[in-house]
Amino acid sequence: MRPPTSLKKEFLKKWIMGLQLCSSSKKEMSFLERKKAIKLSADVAMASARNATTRWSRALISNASKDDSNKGLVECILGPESESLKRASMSLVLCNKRNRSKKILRKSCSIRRARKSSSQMVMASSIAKRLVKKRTQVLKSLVPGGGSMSEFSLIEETLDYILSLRAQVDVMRHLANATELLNRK
Amino acid sequence: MQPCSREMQAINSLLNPSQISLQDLQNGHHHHHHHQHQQQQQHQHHPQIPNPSQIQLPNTHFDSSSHDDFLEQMLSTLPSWSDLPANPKSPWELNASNPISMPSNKSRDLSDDTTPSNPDNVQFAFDESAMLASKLRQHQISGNSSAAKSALMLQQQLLLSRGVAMGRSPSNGSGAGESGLLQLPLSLSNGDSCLVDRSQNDVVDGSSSFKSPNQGGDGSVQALYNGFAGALHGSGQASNQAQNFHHPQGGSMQAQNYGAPATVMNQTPATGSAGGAPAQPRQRVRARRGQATDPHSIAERLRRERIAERMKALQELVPNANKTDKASMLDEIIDYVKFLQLQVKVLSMSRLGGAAAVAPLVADMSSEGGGDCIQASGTSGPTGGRATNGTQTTTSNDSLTVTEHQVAKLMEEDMGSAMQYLQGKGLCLMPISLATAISTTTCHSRNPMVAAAAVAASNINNGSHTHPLLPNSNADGPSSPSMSVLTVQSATMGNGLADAPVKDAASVSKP
Repeated sequence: MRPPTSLKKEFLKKWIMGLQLCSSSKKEMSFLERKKAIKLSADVAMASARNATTRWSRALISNASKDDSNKGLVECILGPESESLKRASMSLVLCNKRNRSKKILRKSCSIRRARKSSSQMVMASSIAKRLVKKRTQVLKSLVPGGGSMSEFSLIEETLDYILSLRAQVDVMRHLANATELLNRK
Repeated sequence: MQPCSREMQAINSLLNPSQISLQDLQNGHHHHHHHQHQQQQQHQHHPQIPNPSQIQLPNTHFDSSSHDDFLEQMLSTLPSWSDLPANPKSPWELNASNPISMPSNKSRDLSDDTTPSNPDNVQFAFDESAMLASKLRQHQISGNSSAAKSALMLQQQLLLSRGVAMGRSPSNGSGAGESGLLQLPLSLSNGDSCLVDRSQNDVVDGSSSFKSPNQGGDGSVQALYNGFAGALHGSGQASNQAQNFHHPQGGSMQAQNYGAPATVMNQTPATGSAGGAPAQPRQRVRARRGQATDPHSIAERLRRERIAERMKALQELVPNANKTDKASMLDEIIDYVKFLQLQVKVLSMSRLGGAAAVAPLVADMSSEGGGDCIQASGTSGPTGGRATNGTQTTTSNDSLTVTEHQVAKLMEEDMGSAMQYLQGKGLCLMPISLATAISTTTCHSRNPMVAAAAVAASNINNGSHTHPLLPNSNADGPSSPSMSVLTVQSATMGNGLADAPVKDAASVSKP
């Protein structure tokens, strides 16, 4: 894991760059748009800070660049290596689809198998397993690009994602505080 | 459950040499002291003891006992040994009164007596099941149903303690085992033959699934219960039992356990290798206790260990992560991720270099797919409330957003009217510092909280605090010194995160 401060610095740099781009492109944005732009630039900056080494960051970037209106912003933030990153994220999407179809097949088979062995005795453990499964599903939906990860990689990705989110929140809050103080003065 | 506990103690004391689980030892110690007297009485009632050969073992070995008083008791309670179908309780009780402090002697003597060529402790445990099985058979023959039931209890205890000692997750094993224990007597009393079928299936599954020691531990223990229950019902299998029990299953001790019921049912081949005399030790890799040597199970074990590592790393990141349970850990992680995402969202809405009106902000929140801010922060609900939480948040979302709309509009005009409107709804505005104080003192109930959406009251107020909208009775949100940045606090998070990065909060929460 990178030390958090360097992560924060990178994130800050890229985010501010993104913000500048946003404000320069559109003079008068509604609040909604502004919020979206800020969030988008923050997210992309955070993802790019990882340089697409993690799956969630790649997924984030690919999601962000799907939308045409955001594309320009994303490209600018990503900088020179944007093309390679995009290609990496595209490939991720493709193999996601493949994994998804495999998983559907596997699930249908396992459901049939599971019904056979249902009895009172094993209920406790199966309940626990079901709970865990449900929650991993929820977690998969939360973490970007988590739909096609194994359990182990999901946990790893979550780890990284939580770290980056934390850093992001810290930086954003400090920036907000700073701007507010400045504005007050 | 007097007999049960006695049996338990008996089994425990017997199994101590082979399994040496500390728990059993302690249990044995406890019961041992308590039930000594009752055993003596019992001995009087049941003078008949099954196999003299079997009783020889404890006797000879009691000679070497260091506790003379126990020895005297033993000898006094050994009346005629000639009669066969006897109460299975007695030999176990004899053994039970044996001091627990000498497990090694016991194992040595017993194993020596029964299987001279095999000094392994594992065989000793195996022979217990053989003895038990033979007793079961005898009781079946004698048609003594109550005794059979007690024998079954014995077996259950045996299996239970085995499940307890079975390595990986003893809590799981014993938990599952105990549920099986409780349910089995019930099913016995019903006495339906369908149990046999089910048990057979379970044995199939149990033996096939014990590749992973964890699951196998549970499933096979259940299978053992079912197996013996079925054995009680099926009279025709009685003769098979004793012989089948003498199959050495080789491999791990579990394999032996699983092999016994499997052969009893005559349905499934033991996944170990069956056959042969009990005395021959197999030329197999002796796995560590509680773990199989199967490549599949090894791979699974590795995988599980990796996952456990990662979960530990996550535990340090996520607050409130002192849970040992995987499901609750996942719950906490999910909560935290949602919370962080919500924070990012709210922070991006804050006044980064410009004033903004509240109405667009509120409108924005409502437009985001039914207020996913609110929804996201509604994860402050309890672990069990996930599904319900979702539905509740969707229903309360609308009401919340409507309220917020109204309040925002009113606030623009006049704070007084806004306050009145809120009070009519049963909500109130309060400064965040007060909200914090209340939240820290209130214990957070485990009702699904729809909690926190951010209201940019500060923007309108132009003041230094943000005002959360709160219901009168319940409040939340950590403290905030005068900051007008919006962040969102979910209920449980607010209470849990002492050192949270969130310093300021504006929150709307409902009980």
